[in-house]
Amino acid sequence: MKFSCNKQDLMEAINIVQKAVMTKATIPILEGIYIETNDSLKMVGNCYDMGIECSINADIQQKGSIVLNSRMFGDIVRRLPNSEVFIQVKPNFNVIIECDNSYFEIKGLSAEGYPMLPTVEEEQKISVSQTSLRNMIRKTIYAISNDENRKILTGSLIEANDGDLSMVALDGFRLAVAKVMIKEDTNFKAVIPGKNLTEIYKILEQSDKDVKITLSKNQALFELEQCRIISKLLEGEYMNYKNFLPEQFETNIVVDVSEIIESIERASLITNDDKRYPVKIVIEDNKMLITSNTDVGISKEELLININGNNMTIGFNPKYLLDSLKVADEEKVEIFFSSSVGPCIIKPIEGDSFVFMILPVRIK
Amino acid sequence: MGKVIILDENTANQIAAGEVVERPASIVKEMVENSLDANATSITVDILNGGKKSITIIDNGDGIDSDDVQMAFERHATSKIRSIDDLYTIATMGFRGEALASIASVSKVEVITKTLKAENGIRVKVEGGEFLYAKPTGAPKGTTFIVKELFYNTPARYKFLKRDATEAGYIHDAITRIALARPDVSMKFINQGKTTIHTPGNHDLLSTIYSLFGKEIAHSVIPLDSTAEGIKISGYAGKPEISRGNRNFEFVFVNGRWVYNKTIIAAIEDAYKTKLMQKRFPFTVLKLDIDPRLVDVNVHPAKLEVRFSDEQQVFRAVNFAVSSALSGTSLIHQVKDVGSMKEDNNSNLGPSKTELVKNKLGTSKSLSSHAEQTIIGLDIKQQQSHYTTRQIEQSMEIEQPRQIEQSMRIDQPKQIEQEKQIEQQMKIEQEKRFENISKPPHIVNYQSIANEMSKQAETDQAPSSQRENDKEKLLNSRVVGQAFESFIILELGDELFLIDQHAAHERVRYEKIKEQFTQNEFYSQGLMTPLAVELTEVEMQKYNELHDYITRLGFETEDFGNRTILIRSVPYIISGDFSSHDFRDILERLIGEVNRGVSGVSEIIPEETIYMMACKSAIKANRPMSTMEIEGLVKDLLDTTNPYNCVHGRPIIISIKKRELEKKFKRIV
Repeated sequence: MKFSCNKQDLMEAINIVQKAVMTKATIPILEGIYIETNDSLKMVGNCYDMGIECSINADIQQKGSIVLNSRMFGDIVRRLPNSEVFIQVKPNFNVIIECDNSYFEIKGLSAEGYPMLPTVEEEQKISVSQTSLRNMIRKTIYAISNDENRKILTGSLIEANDGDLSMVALDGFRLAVAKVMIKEDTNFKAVIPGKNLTEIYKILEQSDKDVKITLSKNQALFELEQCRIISKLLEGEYMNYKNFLPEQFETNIVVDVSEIIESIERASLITNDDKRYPVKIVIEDNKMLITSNTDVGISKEELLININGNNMTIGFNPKYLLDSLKVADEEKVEIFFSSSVGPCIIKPIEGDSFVFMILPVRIK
Repeated sequence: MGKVIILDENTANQIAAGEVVERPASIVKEMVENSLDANATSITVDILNGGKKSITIIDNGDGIDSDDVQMAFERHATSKIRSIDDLYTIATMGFRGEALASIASVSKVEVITKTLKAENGIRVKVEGGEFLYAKPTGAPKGTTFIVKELFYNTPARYKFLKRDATEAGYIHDAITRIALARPDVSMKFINQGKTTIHTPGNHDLLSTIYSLFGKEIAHSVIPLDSTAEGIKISGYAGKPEISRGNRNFEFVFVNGRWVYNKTIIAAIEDAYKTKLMQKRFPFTVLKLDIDPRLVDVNVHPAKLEVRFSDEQQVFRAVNFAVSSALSGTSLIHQVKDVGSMKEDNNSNLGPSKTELVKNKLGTSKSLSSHAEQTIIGLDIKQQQSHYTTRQIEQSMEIEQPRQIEQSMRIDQPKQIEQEKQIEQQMKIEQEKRFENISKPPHIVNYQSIANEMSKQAETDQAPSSQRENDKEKLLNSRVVGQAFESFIILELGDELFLIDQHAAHERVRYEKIKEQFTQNEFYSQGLMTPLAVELTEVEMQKYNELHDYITRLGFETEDFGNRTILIRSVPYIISGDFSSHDFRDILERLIGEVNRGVSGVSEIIPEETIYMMACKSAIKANRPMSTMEIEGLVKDLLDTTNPYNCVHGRPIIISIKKRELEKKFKRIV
């Protein structure tokens, strides 16, 4: 095998496939990146529940394949000068890496036995822009649970339904739903591990280019221009989240997002490092009062808002409010309160691109 | 003919023997208890081959009436109770009337006994339950009980005996327990001709501990004496530095009987929590005196287990007694010369330990008041007259420990106090004996001085004053500086104190964080979907009992029927990482906590979480500190409830005596 390619392109590809390589494995080959030259240069990283395949342009002189230790190969390429990189495999699996005045000859492993990505039977396929998928992940990923005892909640539900694509995450205290329209009229449901979604988020770019999502029984395939990402699915039935969303509300308000974020952030400044306190929100006379009362002291914030409904006093974990408000990407949002002890809902003023639900803290 | 028959008496006895006579140690235990019930003040146990070949028990007790001897071998023959009602007020060790018959059925037994009134003794021989003969013989007052060839007629049982050394070990343990239970009786244990235990029998528990476990342990125990909830608890709790790798040294006695009781053990270990490292267990000798009507001792044939009518009450009382003893006393770990400790241990192995103790104590007092010196003079004279044959041996032995004794005494005021106490006890004891010989007119005087002294010793030993004393000392000491940017060095008088700065700050933070949590208001975070938790019947019952308390902590729960409860909200502070599995853990901890009558949030947050917080927020090693900072830290540390150990049980403060340094430099040899 022999090829040369641009250092930047190579590095980018390594960075992507590395996300699916185990850093500590019992078999050395599993700590490696699979490299193959055929028509183009293909690299693969594969671990237990995720696999990534990436293709880049290269000047291929001789076809072949090899496995190189991911960390070592990555570290070497990262520090090479920005120039053309020449890579050649010798018959004894030693790999020569040359770039400008640098020369490496490192041991490689036979590519035989490397776990290649499975083929995904094309059952249901949809496409969505990279930006949209990115935003959906961002708006929901913070709400996944880390309770390993309820494994299904450590992933996000991805659901296509009559032209809508939604992503849902919940951890028992809050719920986040993000939604976009898609052209396809398919119906499917799958739960993707949160950890994998985080990696996918990093690979996705702010671009209008499409991601194709294909689902099979136990895996999901995300196809980008140069990349194929396969993720295992979490088994089990996801909660019927729609049942949790209340339909009747005592009060609803409209607030300026950046104002309320700043107020809550200030109010949570006086909590102790060791222990956090809830914030109290009092809504009356077109004003919102955000207070906190901790062993360090007290704070008060006042915001002008539009109220529709009864006055209300309610407590929240400030982190939960901030997590949701920060990803709203809107100037103003509407907040609905079902009661002072019931869930509240944050929605955009127009449309239904997201719904955030938060359970309150009982304040005495 | 039917298949059901009544077993002949001998077979019945052999079967019954299985319950009581399991191994040689059980025979020793049963027979020594008989001796104690017969008011013996001196008991000697002599064994060969781990008791398999022979066990000889000699006491100076009441003896058995010649008319009764034969009957005593019958099953359910007892002189100790008359009817079942007596059981509830039982004060003797034995009562079931099974032991003698059971032992006799599986071995060859010989008994030589004489009561005070009888003109001559009587010798009885029984083999395998068969009465052979009873004939008059010359004998001193008391009973000698010889068991030979144990299990000779039940080879199946014999097979199950362990190696000689192991069986001897069991006997050693049994005698140790009895000796601790009865410091008023002089116990002697001879194994293969070697004396391995010899307690003074002078009514003083500390000198018994000294003779059984040696000086290091006797000097590292804290006396406790408290009466709470109608239970009197006395004895000694070992400092953390003499902790053990197993529970074998947690001695518990209920109404004079050694017992194993989970509640008491749990209460003791709870009191030592954060003072001991993991997997370490305390040394304790605890004596509980409790109304016999509230204890059921007839649970186990060998009476090793007891039941209490109110377990929680016992837990609280024991926990309180041990905790308060520990919280008041100085627990600073002292760095000592390893060499001297070794010598010390060796000296304790000698057969004339008891005498040695007395002598050492006598000599160690040389600097004390004039009056005391006179007493010592008398003591020594008396001892000389008593032990003339051992004189040379003694003088040899005294030399060695004296130096150590003196060095210990100079730098350890607390230990002096303890020694004084031992001395007081010994003295009173000896004076009693003295009284029998002659009655010098000034004896009364000594006694009153002695009483005064022991009172003084008691007040000096009052826990709070010791703790205060440490605090005072450390606060007044000069900050020498910091070593390796990790250890604080203080100096006062002839002592250097080294403080692990990370451990110290961690302890300060730990208590502060815990306090914060205890004062917290209990907010509760609502759950989107209720969590269903299935409980066991017992947990369910506890849940119902504690429902109000659980609610106050921030849980919102309801009974869903079928031993399942629904959790609708959880305490705010643990909402982040609460999982349904945690609830049962928390419930269990709450049960323990309520037992102790403590309330707070500490029990819903895993202790480890608080450790982690404390550890993270504490300053680390390798961090320079200014003198001002050091002084502040030392002050904060001394305000904590336990400035001696970090939360993981490691020591925070250690001290080194000037003398130890001088020894290292060979200024003193």
